[in-house]
Amino acid sequence: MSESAMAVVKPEMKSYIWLQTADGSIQQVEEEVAMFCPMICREILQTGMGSSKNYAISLPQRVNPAILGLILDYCRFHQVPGRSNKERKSFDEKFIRMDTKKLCELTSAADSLQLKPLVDLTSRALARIIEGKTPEEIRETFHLPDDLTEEEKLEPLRNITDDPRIRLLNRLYARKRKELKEREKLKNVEVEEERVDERSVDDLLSFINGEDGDSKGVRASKNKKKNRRRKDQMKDSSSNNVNGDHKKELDGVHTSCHNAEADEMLVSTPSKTSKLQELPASTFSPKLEFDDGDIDDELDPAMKEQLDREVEDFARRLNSDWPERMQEILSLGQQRRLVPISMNGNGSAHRYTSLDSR
Amino acid sequence: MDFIPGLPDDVARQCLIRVSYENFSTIAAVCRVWKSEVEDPDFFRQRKTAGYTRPVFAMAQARVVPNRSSGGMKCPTLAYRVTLLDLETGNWSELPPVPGFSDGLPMFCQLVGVESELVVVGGWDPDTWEISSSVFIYNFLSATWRRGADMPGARRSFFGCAASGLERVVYVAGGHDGEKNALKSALVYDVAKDEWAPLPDMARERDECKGVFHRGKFHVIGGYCTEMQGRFERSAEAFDFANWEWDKAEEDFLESSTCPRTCVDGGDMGMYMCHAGEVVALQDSRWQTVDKLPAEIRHTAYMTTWEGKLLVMGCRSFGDAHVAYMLDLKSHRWRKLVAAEEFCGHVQSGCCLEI
Repeated sequence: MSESAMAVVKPEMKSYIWLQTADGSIQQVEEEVAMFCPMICREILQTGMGSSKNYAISLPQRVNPAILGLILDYCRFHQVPGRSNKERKSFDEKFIRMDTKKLCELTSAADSLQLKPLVDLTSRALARIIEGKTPEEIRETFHLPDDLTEEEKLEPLRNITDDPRIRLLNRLYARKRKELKEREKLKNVEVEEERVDERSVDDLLSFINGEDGDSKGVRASKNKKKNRRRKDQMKDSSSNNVNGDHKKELDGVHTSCHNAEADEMLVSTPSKTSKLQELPASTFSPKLEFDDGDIDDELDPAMKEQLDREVEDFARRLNSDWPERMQEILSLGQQRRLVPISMNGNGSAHRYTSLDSR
Repeated sequence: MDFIPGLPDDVARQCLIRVSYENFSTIAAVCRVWKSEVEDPDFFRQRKTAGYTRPVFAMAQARVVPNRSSGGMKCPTLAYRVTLLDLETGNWSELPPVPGFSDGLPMFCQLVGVESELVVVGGWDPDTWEISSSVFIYNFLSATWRRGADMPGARRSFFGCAASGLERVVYVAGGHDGEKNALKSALVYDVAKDEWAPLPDMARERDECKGVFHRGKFHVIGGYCTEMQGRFERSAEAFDFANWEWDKAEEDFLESSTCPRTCVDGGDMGMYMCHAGEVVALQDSRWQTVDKLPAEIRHTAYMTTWEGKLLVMGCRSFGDAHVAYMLDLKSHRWRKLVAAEEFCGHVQSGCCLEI
């Protein structure tokens, strides 16, 4: 049937089709291989093009010579009818082993040629590449912008507002947003020495709240030792607390929280005239007051990064690590309510604190 | 902006829809364009039509916690959380807990799946044992929980609950209130609008009934009325959504008066149930034996079906670890599913989702 569409056919020779890529270069390809491509096939049948060099079929722009070569390899293999599924699968797996950039080009080209099986194969390969990568890695691989705000990346769960921990997290996000704006303003200001910030979080928070006019440098060196000591103590006294300094309110509550920094975030610092309030003993509901006006103070970029990390850590923990730890924490820290158990007529135990209103 | 630079959008979308559901939250954290894509309902629909969704069983499963004394009585308190069993890979996993509810899910809550969301309805507060009207929804696309509107009206527990995937609604019927009165009222919850609406009352009060969505109708099976505590009926009612009325009750729906807890929709094959150590199917208005249950499963906790396969979870005796078996309905062969210890707890309720 293709014979009639072709202008020149030499029966004793293999038939070739001529293809031209967007850059102008022309390739010739065995007819049966080219016909495996629906788009080329249609061109040949409908327009009669491709039979000679002068009438080469123009391929879509997305197909460059190198990629065309790959595609034709694919077609050449698969158009042979006798192959087993196993053979085909094996070929496919080896075929897609290439760098991501080329894989993208191949997917794009296959799509423009309407070669569905190849599009399926390559997009599946790209999907596998995406799975198992972190968002950062995905951004790097595909050159995508990092344009989500911190809160969008971590989904602050605004619907559940009755939990003080969520409220705290939202406040931290609000704070972060303001800081990011500050960062913009500070871009012009030179950032001094690279400094590893070893200050504990409560130091940072109280600094944010703007205690005194101390310069950062002085404060940092003064507190470095103090905080390192405090941190070590925290790490050692994992089971029963504590640092009489600021842990007295939370006896035993922090038994299982092994990240010292996050704990300090929720803890008041009586040693400083901080605006953070003490945490009540009976319930694990921090009542922290942030004076947002203080955020307008100059912020150290290194500190900001640390704050970034605290927020991320805290959010991650909030969303994933509660069950085990909180079970233990609550059973130790919380008082059990004594509830009367009653058996009603049908013998089923029904426990209620008050009559349910209808 | 291009989804994937170098690829036309629809091609890039082809790649994203092939990514398995565990990675949705990762995709949503990459960049703005990817986030809006994965959270677009069309994305999910395309995924489904192209056939890249996988069946996943979500269950409210217990994790046994060492004794917490409560109110003078030492009860081994069970904390329920959502576990997932991926049918294809056989992997078990756990969903993050509902933020702010560290004691676990409400006891005796019902789980239903609506497209790419899991809805947890009602139950008893695990700490105070008060009846809860809460509704929690887990969205698999964004991997986050949110709270839905509470169930209105009488606080009910042990009600029948089922979801209609097509209309994206959850039906609730029967159960009992705070005074152990059986209820005949019913409600429907629109997940997208986050709204509850009342349905007309059923013909009978049905406490501890089972809700099954079958052949386009919400069926409420069995249960008992206030006077007949624990004496299960054999009747069932079905709600006709189009006419907004309950069909006439079918008196002899069940063969015998048993708890209809294990009754599930079998699609074209009718309904399945576990009864007297066997799996039975309702075909041509008659319950017929399909297969015997494996010996290990004396007490069936939970059953569900999926495309020619049946999943049964149960234990030999109360307190034992639960095991999961899969029955291939075509070959009639049982296969035991391997599960780590933390996934051998009692299963309250569950549903099947395609994500």
